[in-house]
Amino acid sequence: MADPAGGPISSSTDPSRDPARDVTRLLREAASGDQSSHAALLSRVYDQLHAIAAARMRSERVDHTLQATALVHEAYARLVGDVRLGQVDRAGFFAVAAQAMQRILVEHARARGRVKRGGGMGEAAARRKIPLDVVDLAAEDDPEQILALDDLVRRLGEYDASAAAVVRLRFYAGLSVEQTAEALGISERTVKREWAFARAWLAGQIEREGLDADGA
Amino acid sequence: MPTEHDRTRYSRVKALFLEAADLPGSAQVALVQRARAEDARLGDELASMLAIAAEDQARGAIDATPRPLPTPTGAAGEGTRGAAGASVDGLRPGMMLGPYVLREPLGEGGFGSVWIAEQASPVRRDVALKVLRTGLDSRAVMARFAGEARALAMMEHPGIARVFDAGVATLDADRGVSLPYFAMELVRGGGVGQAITTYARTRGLSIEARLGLVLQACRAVQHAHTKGIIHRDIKPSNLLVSEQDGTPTVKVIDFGIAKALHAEAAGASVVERTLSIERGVLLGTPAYMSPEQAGGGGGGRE
Repeated sequence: MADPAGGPISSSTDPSRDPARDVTRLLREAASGDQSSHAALLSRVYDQLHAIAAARMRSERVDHTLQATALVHEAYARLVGDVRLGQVDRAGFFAVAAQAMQRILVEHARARGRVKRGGGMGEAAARRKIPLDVVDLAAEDDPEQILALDDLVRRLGEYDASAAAVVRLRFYAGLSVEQTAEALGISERTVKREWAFARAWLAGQIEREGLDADGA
Repeated sequence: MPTEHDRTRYSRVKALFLEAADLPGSAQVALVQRARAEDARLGDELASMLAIAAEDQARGAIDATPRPLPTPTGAAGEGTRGAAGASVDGLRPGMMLGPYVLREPLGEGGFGSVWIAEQASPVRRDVALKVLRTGLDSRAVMARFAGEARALAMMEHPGIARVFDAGVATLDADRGVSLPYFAMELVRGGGVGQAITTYARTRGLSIEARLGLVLQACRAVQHAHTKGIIHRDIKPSNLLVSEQDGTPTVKVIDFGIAKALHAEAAGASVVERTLSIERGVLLGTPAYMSPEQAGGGGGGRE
């Protein structure tokens, strides 16, 4: 399976005393094509999401579900705080957050998949259970689903970068139609059309192939 | 990586799908037929995708914000679950209890608070979530509820709101705050169902109409009694009226909850019962309680 984040992520930047300013700077640099700033930003967002998720996992022991949307927005609050970001910077943040969130979900799924292996799920169960709304870190969810979905979204991206971008922001960052439109600089109508199409395409793939979690 | 053939096919499917999305139903059928004439498999794929999209559209999945967003906690400190927003018992919209996301408070009662909450899985639906105040022994409550749940599942009556689920959510592991909750059918009628007395008063109902509502409630309770289930806390706020096609319909809520909450109701010893009453935890609502129930009797259906 392709690595959505493109390589191992490690914490390479020290949180400065003014994290919001630092994040803003990284966003600007990343937007102007600076790869190392993009990597630093990704690692910063990833670390923050990871910390929030871990804290919540500890405190909501029973029957917990971690909502990707909530995590991403909490990370935003912590990293950006009250600083008012321009549209382009916000868009950049959410794109990176979606990428980091996808990465976390996949790692979480892999880790749990190692714990409870075996027992491939039936085709019908897979079809029923793959959530095509927002991906959560749910205790009951089969890790295979998250991996399968990750693979499908990656595959969609090979055909159609714009549809995949909409899907990532909606799935993994939990953005609304309006926010997605703003983040991608396209109209809300286009977001809806791409989203409707992508959902139907993904659902169709799941139906046609059953669960294909190995990315074969 | 996809082959050139795959890419062409993908583009064709997408173009047809987007074209169909702008068309009314009958024209979509014609488009699918054209696609089938071009390539049978292509037409089938298009038809099934359009069916999925129609379903998505019908449940509002396309426009919907994925979930209500919680208010960001702001500070970079650890676990700042502050008292922002409409906070009831330290709970606020956006918080998650088990698989439920709290949306808005419906009310507060002696046991805790009731919320409109959204359930994400296994089915996506809105429920009324009754969250009990801490201090009750959640383990014991849940054990009793598990016993009740089987009996409650047997009740299928339009006049009885269903109890779906019960669980315990841990909010703050360090302080060991655990909140038992019950998920129940959300009674709607325009907005949320009104207590039977409020409904009768605001509509200025005639005596006849009021008796009609009471009769409905009696039928529902009768149904439960034939299954051997006793409510133990019948009162106006547990008899909700919603309007279905303009006709007022009564639903009895909280069936089995009073019993699950109180060991003495489930047939614990007289000593425990006395202790409970001494602690001021009296089963039911005194003003609407039957004399034998208030007197510490079994609370039978006679």
